[in-house]
Amino acid sequence: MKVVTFIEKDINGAKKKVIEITQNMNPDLFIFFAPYTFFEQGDNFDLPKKTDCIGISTVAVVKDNCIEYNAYGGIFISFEKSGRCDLKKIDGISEDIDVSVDFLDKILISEEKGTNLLFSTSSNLYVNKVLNKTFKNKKENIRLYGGIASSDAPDFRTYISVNGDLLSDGFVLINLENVESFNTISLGFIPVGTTYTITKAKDNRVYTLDDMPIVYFLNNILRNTGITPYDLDPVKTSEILWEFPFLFIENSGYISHLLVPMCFDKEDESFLFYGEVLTGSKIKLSTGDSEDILIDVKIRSEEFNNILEERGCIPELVLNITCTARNYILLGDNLESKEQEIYYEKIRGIPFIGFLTFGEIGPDRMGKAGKFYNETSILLGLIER
Amino acid sequence: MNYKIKERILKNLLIEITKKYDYMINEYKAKDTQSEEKLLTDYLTSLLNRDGFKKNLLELSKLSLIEDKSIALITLDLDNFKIINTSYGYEIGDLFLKDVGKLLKNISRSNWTVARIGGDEFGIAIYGIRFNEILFEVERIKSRIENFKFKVGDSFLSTTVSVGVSIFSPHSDKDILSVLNKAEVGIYQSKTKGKNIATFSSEDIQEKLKDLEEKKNIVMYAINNKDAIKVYIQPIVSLRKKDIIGGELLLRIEYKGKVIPAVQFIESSIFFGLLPKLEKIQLDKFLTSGKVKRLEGKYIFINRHIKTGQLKNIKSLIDELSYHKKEISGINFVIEITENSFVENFSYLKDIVHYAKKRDILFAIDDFGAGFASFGYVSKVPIDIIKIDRSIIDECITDKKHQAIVKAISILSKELDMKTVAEFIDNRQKLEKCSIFNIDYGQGFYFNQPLELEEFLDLL
Repeated sequence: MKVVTFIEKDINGAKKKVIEITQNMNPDLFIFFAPYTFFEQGDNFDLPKKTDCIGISTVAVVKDNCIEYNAYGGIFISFEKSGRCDLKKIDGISEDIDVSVDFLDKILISEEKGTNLLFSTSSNLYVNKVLNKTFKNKKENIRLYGGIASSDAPDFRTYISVNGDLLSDGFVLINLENVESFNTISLGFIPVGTTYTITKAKDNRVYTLDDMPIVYFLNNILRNTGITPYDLDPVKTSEILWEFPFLFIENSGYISHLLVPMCFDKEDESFLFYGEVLTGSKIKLSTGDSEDILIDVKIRSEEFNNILEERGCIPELVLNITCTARNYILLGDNLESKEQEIYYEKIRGIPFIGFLTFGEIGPDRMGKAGKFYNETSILLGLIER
Repeated sequence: MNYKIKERILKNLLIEITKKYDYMINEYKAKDTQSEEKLLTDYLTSLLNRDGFKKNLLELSKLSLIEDKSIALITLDLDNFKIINTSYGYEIGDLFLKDVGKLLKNISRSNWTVARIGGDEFGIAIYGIRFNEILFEVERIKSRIENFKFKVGDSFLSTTVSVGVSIFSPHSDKDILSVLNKAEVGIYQSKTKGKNIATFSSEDIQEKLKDLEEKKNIVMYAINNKDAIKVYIQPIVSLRKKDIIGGELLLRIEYKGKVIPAVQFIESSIFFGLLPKLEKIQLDKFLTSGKVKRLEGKYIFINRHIKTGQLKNIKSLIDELSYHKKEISGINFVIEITENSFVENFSYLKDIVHYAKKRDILFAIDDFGAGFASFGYVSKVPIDIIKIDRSIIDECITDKKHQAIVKAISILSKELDMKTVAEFIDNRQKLEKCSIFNIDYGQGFYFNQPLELEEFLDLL
């Protein structure tokens, strides 16, 4: 497939770029990233009729070795061999989970047929619930990657547009037929402490750990810090919550995914997360800073390179789906573009673009599909068959 | 983030861990002292742990004194395992170790004791192993681990092992645990030599290994320079008519201006698993030579070393030869395998012999009479030819018992419709004896030494 990517700081530059590129190629698919204001202003790009178009609101766009906040970026894809794409969207997912599960279950294509990309608005809990339910008993191999749109709006509202139609509580699934994919996932947080069992949870709320109220655990952890569990919220204490995410452990013993706590609810004394937490889950607290994150990025970029060497192929597009919270930690140490610089070292010359998310979708470490993450960075290689 | 707060939280976490740890220890102590079996088992791999291994070794050493058997102690340490732990987390590292343990268990035989004796260190005790088998077993373990791949997402993890080997001999060693120490020192020496190496505490084995490594260079040279692999044939003669009925294909390598006979490199090529490659190149050269059409109607014997892993190659060899016979050369191909291999793999080979029969390919048993085969075995399958072992032919000139054996083989073979070949006929007396006993064919220096294909064809 032919791939052209761009990044522009302002909308006029982006529109000019789109016209310029579409004059030279007739793309099958255009995926763009833009600030949330672009969608609220009802703005749009001029595209050829045959081009399918997905828009994702984001805090920042990454391309090659740089990151631009409040910027515009895009990927034009034109299939040259047997590849093709098919878009399917659903809105109002928080109203009826089962409808969404049924919808997703029917439209996912197997690894044999190609790759699935899923982009969603910031209904983290519901997207996570849909994924958990859909993949609970799935046996076939499925390649599914994606992310939750992000924004710096005061209430964190996000948008997805599909051929001009806006979704505010839904997702779009792109079936990339006859497109192969492979990936690495960087967590970068170090597990600390012993393993706990979540003994009571509902949706994204945890009530008890090892049969003890969660507040007991939080009181112990926060002792003498000047912060109480009741102070924990997404704005005031975001740093604390983001630097101590929870790692979830699979039955066979490996860390499958990571979720970040959101806040403490005084009303029912529950601890809320940016994703679904299931009763019976085994968890470990983790900690990490810029240094830990970047050490892991180095290891993953090396791993990505090894995968390319093992497969003897060069991807036609590398997509980076990376978390806003993670970037926030790096930004705190003025290292905001360091992650992309490290990746870029290994994939120089290959179209490389991505965006900041409020949640990432990918397989777990052992390749089990349909996991929902926070604070991770997915590096995804795509090749048309 | 405010580092004071972060430091405080981490300290608090440490307090939490300590509390939980103390609780768990007390709970553990409070329970009955656990069954002994549980204390001797590794929690991760379910193999024996270090204590379990030591206990087992002490028991084996007592038994070895009674039965006068040696015990090989092989200790393995995974190379660069720390990198797996650092790159993928120790949880993935544990899963990797678990699978390595499973692999060792799967390749173990009934006289093996397998244990995890350290973080990434495994121990194997092989009871009653013969001296010359130790090298092969060590190489087998090394290559199985080297070929083991562990899938993590889209990546594959693999490793090599540094090995230390020592041998407990019941009459010269008093303490088996000090022999275990020697093996572990061997690991350390292997690591310092550059990893992925085996170090033997016995100088004899170390020398043998060195020799095999040197011979490997010759074999590798031949594999990379196919012209160095020569097609040699030793004629086989009818003892009655004195004409050449065919010959046996023999491996030779031309190295540094000399033609090296198979006896000098065959052990090394089997040891390093390179023999199938050599055999394939040689056979391809023979079959694709335009001159082989001149061998129509002749018997060409192809010897194959059967190791369990290579059994499946026999079927494709039969198919290839069958096609060649029918479509190209009209040669009567004879696949020969040794008597011992035939008996060890009898259940599989009996079907193979029938498979070959249907495709007009003949089967011969080599070194017949050397091992434990009997006519009971060969009478159950349609074997075509029996090649009598050298030791019997050598002795039959003077020794009456051996003469009786040759005579019996000859008579029974005729009854079972099998032809007989006497190998290593190197003088007139042996030829005469074999003729008297009605052996059908002869092979050996008395008739001809092995010849290059061209020379062999000129003889016909």
